Amino acid sequence: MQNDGEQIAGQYLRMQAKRLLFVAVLSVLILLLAVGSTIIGSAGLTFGEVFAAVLAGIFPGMFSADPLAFTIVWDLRLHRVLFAVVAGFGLAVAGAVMQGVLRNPLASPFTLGIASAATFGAAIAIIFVPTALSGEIALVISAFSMSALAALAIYGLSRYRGISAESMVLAGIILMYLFGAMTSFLQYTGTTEQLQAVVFWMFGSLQNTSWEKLALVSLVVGVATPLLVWRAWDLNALGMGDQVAQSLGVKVEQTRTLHMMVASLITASIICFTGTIGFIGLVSPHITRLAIGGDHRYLVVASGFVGALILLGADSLARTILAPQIIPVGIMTAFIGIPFFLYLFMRQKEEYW
Amino acid sequence: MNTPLIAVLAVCMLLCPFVVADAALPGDLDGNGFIAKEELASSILAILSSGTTPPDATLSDLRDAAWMYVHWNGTARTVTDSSGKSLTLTRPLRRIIVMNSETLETMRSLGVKKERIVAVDKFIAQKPEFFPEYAGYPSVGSIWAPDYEKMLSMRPDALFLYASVSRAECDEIERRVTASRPSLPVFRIDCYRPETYLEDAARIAEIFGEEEKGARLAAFYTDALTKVAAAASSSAPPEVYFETWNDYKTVARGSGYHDKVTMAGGANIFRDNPAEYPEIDPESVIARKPDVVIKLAGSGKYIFGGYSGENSSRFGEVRNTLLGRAGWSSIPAVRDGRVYVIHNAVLGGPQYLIGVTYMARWFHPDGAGDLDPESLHRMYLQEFQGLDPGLAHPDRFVFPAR
Repeated sequence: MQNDGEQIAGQYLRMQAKRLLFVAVLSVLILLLAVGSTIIGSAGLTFGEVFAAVLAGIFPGMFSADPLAFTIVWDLRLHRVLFAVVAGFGLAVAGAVMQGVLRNPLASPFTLGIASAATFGAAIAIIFVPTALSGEIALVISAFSMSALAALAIYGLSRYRGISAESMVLAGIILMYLFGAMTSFLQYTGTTEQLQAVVFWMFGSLQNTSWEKLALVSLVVGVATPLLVWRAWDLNALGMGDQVAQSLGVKVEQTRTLHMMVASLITASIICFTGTIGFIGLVSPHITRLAIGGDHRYLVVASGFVGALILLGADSLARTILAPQIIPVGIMTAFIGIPFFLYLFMRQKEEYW
Repeated sequence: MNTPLIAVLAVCMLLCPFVVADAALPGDLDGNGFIAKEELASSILAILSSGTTPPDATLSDLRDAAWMYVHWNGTARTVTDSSGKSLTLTRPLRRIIVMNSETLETMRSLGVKKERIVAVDKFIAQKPEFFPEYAGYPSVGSIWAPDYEKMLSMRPDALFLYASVSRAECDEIERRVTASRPSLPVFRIDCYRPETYLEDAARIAEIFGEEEKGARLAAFYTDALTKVAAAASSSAPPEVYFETWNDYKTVARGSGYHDKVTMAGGANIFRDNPAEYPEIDPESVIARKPDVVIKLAGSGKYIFGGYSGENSSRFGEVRNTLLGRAGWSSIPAVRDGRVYVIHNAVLGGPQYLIGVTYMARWFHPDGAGDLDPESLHRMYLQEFQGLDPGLAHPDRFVFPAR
């Protein structure tokens, strides 16, 4: 008996070490990639120039940098790099939570129609509010409020029939089709240019980031993630089935609603600025689960790190592979994420989900 | 009266134009493919001497025969469209559908009257300032959402579509329309590419027997472009950053705008990019230090000015936004105040020569003595388009004009 206990404790500690190592390695990779992608760019700045510019920005007055390098680093590169990290983190966290809440390996922030709703909101703004100065704000507000509306609609629909995971997925898929149809209808009435803009929005892009947007998204992700981690035990319980969770004292419906709403909020606040960056929310939790197992107390945050790495990697490639041309980042995420996923998937011996 | 018989007759009369349009030449009595003076004369005399009012079909046949005798030397006319397809017309066109606004504009330059046009696409019908005579005209939808029923119900005798832009959509329209009306001539004509514009215009002139006006239009273009070429070669080409109405979306070799920048004597800084319309990294503009920046307005987020003239004050606002972009204060174009906003109406379509003239003046201010884009614009509107030359006010199309 005692041996068994020690063995289990030992296993747990080894698992714990593995988790820590996983997150540590990811952090180092993200840091290296962030540094690299701040240095590399079509303006052809040297490492020294970038380094001086970064220091001059952090310690004003103490270091001096070439003003042009300073502008390029601080006004064009840094917020984009950081935005990729925060947005990738947020999308992956939302994905991990959605998969847990819905007990569905195919769930992602986009399963519940959040993304199609945002696209519809963006299409409304692109087609009906075409003016440059107010246009961007209108687009962000419109995309965000449509996703919020979709989240509320799912809540309402499943509330009506009791919130089972299945009914939530079903409601989400129905909404996805509805918003998809409405977007197509709008596109049908728009001009080629507007059509192109909507399609472009669907690819997702980090071209329009700024420090203000970064601050906003960081605030949402920064507040929401601890909340989700704090309730991660409940997600583990939900994974055993609603009845088990209930007998363990988890308020099933309340938990599911809370997690779903928070994950939707994170997703909406990111994609209203970037367009629909798919795939990260779906694949990051799977990669993480393959590496460190399905305990949501770790899974949620570790997925975030994986997501940050994928999005940052994808955006760095999108900026450099055909430089000075920029490829929409939504196209690159799959190219980066899938080999990573396949590697872990092939190595896995048993069923992991 | 026998009602069914009348109904059958009515249907036959409705079908008549299809049948006749596909037949041999009107008024070609001996069927040798040539309307001779004698044939025309005998037809006219036969009608005059009959003493009764001849049926409409006979009269319109005679009208067509006379027209062909005058304009096409009494024979059928074979015209090759921009896609290289040969089409033979055995009658003058009287009921055409035009789904390409550049072609319609060119038709107007060539004096093709509204009476020959039965329907247009919905964007033409929505431009009352530039196409006042087609405001609220019957519309057959757009190239992306064509209304086939409407198209066929207008009983057209020809359809005009783009040749190289939106090719897949236009191919599909041609395929579907000719499936139900195999004999309907579908002309694929661009009328927007500088290198083929005059050829396209000559094709239309041939179709409508307006060769004289065609020659006048060609002379107008050639003269204006010669002046541009002289200015363009007067000094070394400045490095130019050309931005479309999508921010940081530029153009490269292979695109029409690149050709126009080159024509005006500018060196496009992104000319060697493999994609024709690449979205580029903002910092690469700063790194390439353009001497002149051109921003295109007129669509997307930049709808203002142009023939409607609405919100023309936005030109200045947009220019200020460009000047204030991160890092742009180091660009020579911004330092020297050579940042210009231009409306697509004078650059995208047949009026490109006006936009190119403006650009040549911006690129080569010292060699631009002969260039007067504003009066060129006024002349185009007045002489070729039959519009109020006052519409050509520079405030609506460019900022700053000099």
